[in-house]
Amino acid sequence: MEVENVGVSSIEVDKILEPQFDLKDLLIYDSNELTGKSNEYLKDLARDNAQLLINQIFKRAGLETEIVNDSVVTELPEKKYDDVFVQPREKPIPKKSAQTKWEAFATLKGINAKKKKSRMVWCEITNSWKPRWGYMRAEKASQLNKNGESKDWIRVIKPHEDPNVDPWEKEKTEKKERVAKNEHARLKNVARQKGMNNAKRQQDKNELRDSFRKAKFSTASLGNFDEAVAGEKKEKNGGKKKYNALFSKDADNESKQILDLMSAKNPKFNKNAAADKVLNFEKKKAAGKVQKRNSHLKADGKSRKGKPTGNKVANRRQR
Amino acid sequence: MVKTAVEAGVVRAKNARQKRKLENEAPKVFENAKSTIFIKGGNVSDVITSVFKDLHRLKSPNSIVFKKKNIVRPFEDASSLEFFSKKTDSSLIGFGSHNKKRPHNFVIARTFDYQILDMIELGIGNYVPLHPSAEIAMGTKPLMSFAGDAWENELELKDGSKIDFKRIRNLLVDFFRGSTVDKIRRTGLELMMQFTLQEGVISMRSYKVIMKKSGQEEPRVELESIGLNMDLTIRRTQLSTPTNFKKACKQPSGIKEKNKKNITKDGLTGEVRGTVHLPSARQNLDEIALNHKKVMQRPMPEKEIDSEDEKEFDEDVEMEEL
Repeated sequence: MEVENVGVSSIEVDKILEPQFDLKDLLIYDSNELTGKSNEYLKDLARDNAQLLINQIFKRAGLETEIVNDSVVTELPEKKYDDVFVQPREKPIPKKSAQTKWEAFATLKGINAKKKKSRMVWCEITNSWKPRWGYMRAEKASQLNKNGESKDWIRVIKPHEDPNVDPWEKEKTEKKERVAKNEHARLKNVARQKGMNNAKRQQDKNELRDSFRKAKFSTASLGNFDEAVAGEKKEKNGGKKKYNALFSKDADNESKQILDLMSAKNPKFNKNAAADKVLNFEKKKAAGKVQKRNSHLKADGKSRKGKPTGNKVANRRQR
Repeated sequence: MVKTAVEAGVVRAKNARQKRKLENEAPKVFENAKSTIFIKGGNVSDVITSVFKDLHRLKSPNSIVFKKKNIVRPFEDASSLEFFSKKTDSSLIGFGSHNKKRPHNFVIARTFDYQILDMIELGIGNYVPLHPSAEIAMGTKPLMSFAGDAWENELELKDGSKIDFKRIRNLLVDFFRGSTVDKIRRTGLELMMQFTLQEGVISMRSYKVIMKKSGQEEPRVELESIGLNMDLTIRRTQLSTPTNFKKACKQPSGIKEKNKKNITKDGLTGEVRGTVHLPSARQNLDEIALNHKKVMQRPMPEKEIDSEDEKEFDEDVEMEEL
């Protein structure tokens, strides 16, 4: 094969700004300015960038290579998860599920999982391999005689058994009960899992502080002489409201700032953020976590407490 | 142990086939390759159908083209796109339509948890279809290049909204990159796609990569035009907020390789070096036990030194007094 352009120049590419690479996805980000628009210029640019990428993959990134079936295979490096190259996932991260009751017991007792049983079993009667369970299973063959009739046509009643009970019906109902019991246990495990997911949400710091405060207040001395717990912060109660000085040096600037905010062409309203907020609110509402604000007021904003006192005097006079 | 919803019995599968399907579609630590659906709108031009055909060819087998037309307005109501995404378990959507106001319209969207994450509307211009003689294998992972300084910027529009070109670049990478692989054959690096951004128009050019001998380990790269070129005018965008994007980008803990701080690998020689830190306060170098008689009394191996080397030896090695 011909050797094209022997020399270092054939594979070297000069760039003013170093391009960024992500070899896991075979990417090159070249932020150098474009100096043309024609297809020829674009093709040359593409050739340069491809050359840089190939250089990285073949040698410069120091990647491991091996030969598989007469072809050289390069092991690509780990994906970069930094802000420049990270890609969003398709689905959320899988949630960890709680152990079922049996699994918890098994780990406690050190019982290991059973070995998997083989699908096919040797059937002595038909001298063939048959499935262990399901269609045409081996078990059925042992229950049938030569004519295909069930061997289980007669059952001997033991002395402690009730003669009026149909044993085949009894078997069927017992099987149904076992299945129902198993289903019940499965649902309990599911409920336990869902319960765990809810409880995992940690209590809000404020909630904790609130309940601590209440507990402290409920002591005989209203918490005044209690020993301080480790990490407990001193509560700020009362204090005067701070007002800005009447005459400040920066008065012009402050009023300017206020005027700017009021007359801004592009108000600080982020459509997408507002939309997200609404969506989250609706989700919370659906989950029943939103309390009504201003529940002490009626829908029109007036107080629930009753008519204003002014009319009481007039009413009295009329009587 | 992280069990899937199916394994945990939360979702009941009635038979093995259903179970396999549910397991495949469940959230995983290492995800499946993203699948794409190509949907045609109320009216479609032959440019759109040609683009769909070519992209479907490139992305097979992780690609589905819907045969029927669906009257959808993605920027008004994308719920039917989300429904299709859920039914086919695809997280990438390509929607094409054609009308007088928006000719040769191509909407690229991606979903997270079957909800639209990012959506961008592009107008296809100067389309050159993929040459029928071009021998690009199905499912080839392309080399991708994003050139130009405009990609790093944010454009502010008249109504105050911003177009973040970095996000658009991210979306295009997601759409065209194909499946994630651990290893790649050198001969498999045969497709190159370049995206350049100038004045709100993304020029996409595709080439076949030809590697020629250069006398060195790295080959001389030449490109051959194979078609699949288009000039995409950015029309409308609907990109998710940075917080939502960050949520979607969150990776599970099992993925990142933990960086061992005291082990380094020399890039040049390939040797692995470790650093051991000694608490200097405790180790007094004056009082190191040097009285291990047997070791100290072993004769050092004799080294032959040339007259030239001897000079160097005397010059360089000046041991500092400890």
